[in-house]
Amino acid sequence: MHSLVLFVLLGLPLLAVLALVIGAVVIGAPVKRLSVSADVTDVARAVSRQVQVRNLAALAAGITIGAALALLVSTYSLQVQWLPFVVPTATAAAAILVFARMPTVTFREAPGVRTADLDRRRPWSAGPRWLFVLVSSGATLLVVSLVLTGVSAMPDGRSFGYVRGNLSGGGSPYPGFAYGVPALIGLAVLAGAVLIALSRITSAGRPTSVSLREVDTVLRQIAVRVVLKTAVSAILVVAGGVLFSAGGVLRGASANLELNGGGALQPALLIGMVTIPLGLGLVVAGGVFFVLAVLDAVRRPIALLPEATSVPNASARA
Amino acid sequence: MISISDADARPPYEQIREQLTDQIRSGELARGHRLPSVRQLATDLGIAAGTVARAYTELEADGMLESSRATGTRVRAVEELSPAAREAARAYVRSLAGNQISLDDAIRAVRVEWH
Repeated sequence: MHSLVLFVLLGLPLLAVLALVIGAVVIGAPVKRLSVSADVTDVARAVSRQVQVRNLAALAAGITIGAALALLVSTYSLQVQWLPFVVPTATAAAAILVFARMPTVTFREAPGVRTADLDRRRPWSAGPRWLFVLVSSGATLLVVSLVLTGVSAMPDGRSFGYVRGNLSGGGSPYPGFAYGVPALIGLAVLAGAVLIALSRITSAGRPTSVSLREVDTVLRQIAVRVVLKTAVSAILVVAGGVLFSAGGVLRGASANLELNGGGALQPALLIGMVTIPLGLGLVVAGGVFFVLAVLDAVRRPIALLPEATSVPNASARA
Repeated sequence: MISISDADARPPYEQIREQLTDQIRSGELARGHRLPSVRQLATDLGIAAGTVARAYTELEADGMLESSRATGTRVRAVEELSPAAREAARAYVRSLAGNQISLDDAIRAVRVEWH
């Protein structure tokens, strides 16, 4: 478990670097191709550049924080054993807050007439619904997993035990409440960071030009995607870690009982056989979402097409 | 949609108040419509939050809007402009097309004839 967590935590910054390289390769492919009116082309270009620089700065800060926290884990994880269950969410929260606190990109439009919509923007109105559903589902899965492992753990909150006739045994580290409570606090901190970031994205001013409004919509969508995919990646990694470590202990306990002639420990063995691959799958999915978030952040947000020849980019994801 | 112009002699809060009144009385903004927050509208229009807050406060005093901490600022039920008046106004505006008459002068002409 320890080596897996270390691999995941230290591997994330490396994955980010790899993603950056991939991003650099595909940097020519923008997230969206748009046509804007000639009078605002320069403004749109400038904003696109600003967004890319801002995202790269936020990413660099996030990777630095992640690497520092991973180092912390490798140094203190034996003394503070719950640290690995908090670091992914804490890193994601810190990166998201850095992203949210970066200077707002402003559309420098010529003075004159300024317009505004009379509809209230909501934090969830800019991003794709499936990502919000994924974040909520992931968080629910994590909470349910932590509660179930918490109530099935020994009173010390860090080990699993059983008694069958004359035979007894168990194993650790099992993600009981000694690990679960810090993990839940980490999740709450991440949720707060996501809300702050979404609120900031929502409250940024919209430009007046119709052309620039299209650009603004794309930029908001990208920002929301970066925030939510980062959050999903952290949640999935923690949930995967919880399920994997719990499954490992349950399977080990059953194996010990079998060695001692007590037969298989059910349903612990069955649960272990399911949660180990499920946990690994979630950790891998978390890594994939992290790479996707980095790619969204480093890709060129928009490419400008000559006016009136707008072609929707098939690669652009809503 | 609402707009404010630097060229307009009226202060921004008055421009906002007047346009919102027109949209509410014409039914363009329906009863219960939730308006943007003061901060959102001020940021989009590039003006101080106090300017938007003043316009909203005056519209509340006029009975056009209602605000609450829970639901934000909403449009109240108001008596809409009569369809006959709007149709007549539409015909009047059409008749002025191409005459280079400003909105202020067009309204002034109505006021003169009204008395």
